[in-house]
Amino acid sequence: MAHQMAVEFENVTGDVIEANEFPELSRRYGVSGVPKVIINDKVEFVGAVPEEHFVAAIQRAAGVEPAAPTGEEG
Amino acid sequence: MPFISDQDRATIARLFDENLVEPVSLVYFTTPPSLLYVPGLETCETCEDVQKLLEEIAGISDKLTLEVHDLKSEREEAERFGVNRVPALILRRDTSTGRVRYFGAPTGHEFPNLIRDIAAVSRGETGLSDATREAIAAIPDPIHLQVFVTPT
Repeated sequence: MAHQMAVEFENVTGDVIEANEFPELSRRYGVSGVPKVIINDKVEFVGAVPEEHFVAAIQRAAGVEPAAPTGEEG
Repeated sequence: MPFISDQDRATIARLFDENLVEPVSLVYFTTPPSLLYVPGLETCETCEDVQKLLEEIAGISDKLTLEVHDLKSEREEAERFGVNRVPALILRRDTSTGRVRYFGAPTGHEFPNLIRDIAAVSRGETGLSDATREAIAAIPDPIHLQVFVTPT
């Protein structure tokens, strides 16, 4: 999904990193389970998540308020 | 002995035929194998094999080009793509610096993803939902996504 976003948006860079080949980098980011996602060095999560959770994590990292779920606000 | 079997090659060729639109460059950063063992010098165990794999992939479609750079001697290019470790692969359409990157061998689980990514970069669009597109488009700042994976 990181790569999909990087394809569609100019301001998104998506890196897929093979953890075993870069042990130092993996240690720095405390990688113990995969997939582990790090966003702007600020927000992280482990495991495959639904698209909307991924987006919410990006919004948190960017300091943007997630939009209210459709139907709850006028 | 090729990495990609004849059967897989045929499947990938069909997928590329149906999905590739614009040309895509596979920009690959590597370090040449050292003939000497130098204590403390980092060696790249997968670099040679990854290059062979990429040569095979690039050979499947006329729309694909493989560009090989040496990380150590081509500092300017490396800087341009923000690459400081190898093996590094950037999928690039047009002349943009490319924002779809792989560090380490794109094998195992990552191989089918790589094939799909090449098609997505070529088309310039993916299966993201409209809600996702709207949310990401509203963020003006750079977003750096790093995903750590293992091949198995």
